[in-house]
Amino acid sequence: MLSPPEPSAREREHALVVAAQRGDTESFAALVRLHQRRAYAVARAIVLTHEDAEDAVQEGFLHAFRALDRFLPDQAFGAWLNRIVANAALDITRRKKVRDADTLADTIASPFRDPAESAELRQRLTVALSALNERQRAVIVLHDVEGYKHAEIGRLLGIPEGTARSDLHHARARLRQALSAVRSQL
Amino acid sequence: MKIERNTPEDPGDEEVTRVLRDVYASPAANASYWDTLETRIMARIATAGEAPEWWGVFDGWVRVGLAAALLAGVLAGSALLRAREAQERLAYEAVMESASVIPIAGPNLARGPGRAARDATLRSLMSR
Repeated sequence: MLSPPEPSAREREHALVVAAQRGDTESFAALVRLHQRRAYAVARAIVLTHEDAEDAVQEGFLHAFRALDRFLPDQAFGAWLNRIVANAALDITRRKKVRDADTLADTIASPFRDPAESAELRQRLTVALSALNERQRAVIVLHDVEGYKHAEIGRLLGIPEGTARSDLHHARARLRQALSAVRSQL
Repeated sequence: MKIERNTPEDPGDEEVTRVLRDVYASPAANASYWDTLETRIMARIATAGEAPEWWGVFDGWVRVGLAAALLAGVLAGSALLRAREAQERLAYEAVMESASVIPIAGPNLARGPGRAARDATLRSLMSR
């Protein structure tokens, strides 16, 4: 006799969502375990610091938990969650609006960086990143670091795909310019 | 506007991407970090569930407010009714008082000093 097939990842997630909607917090914790890394990456692409990314992730999960009864379980939970996290990250960015490039150069640096990398190069790129507007910065990080496609970035940030393409082009041009200036000095 | 596509053969892009990945590296290798983050997220959700929302502060005041509004409505209605009754009573009394001084038409009205003078003038003219 054949045993029933193993449920797919999507089916498992669906079951977790339905259980969480019924009030099972353990199921929601399982959803957190499944999605927190991606959520962090999305938030980190938008905000300037690791700490703000953590705050955005926590805010996002809290919003998602509160809005869980409005989520349709047949939809992709990850995409829904990441939109909420992106909005939370954008809110944090708007609230802070830190414009001091010198301060940013110190604060943006992640504690998880490679010590072998040229500090000057990283610092210049960091300053150039902070000079981009929040949307351009988010687009280039989501695309180049996280591997999102233009259309996915558009959905995530609530902008047209063409705008995501255009932002990516401008952001990359400015960062490339910053890097070439450093290389010419080194 | 011409859009430049990301091409792997573009050395500038590769450099940008490499440094970006370094700057934005997530703590993926650190398993305990994610366990801690999960714990913090769930703790925050639990705390938020226990703590009332800011608008929840007003929940207790809603009943009091409704009762006060009802009482104020009853009092205002009652005062309005009393004022209206008083107004009607005053109007009635004013009508009654003015009715007693209104002259009533009749034969007495034709008499008086003016009438006597007119009668005397008429008699004098007719006797001529």
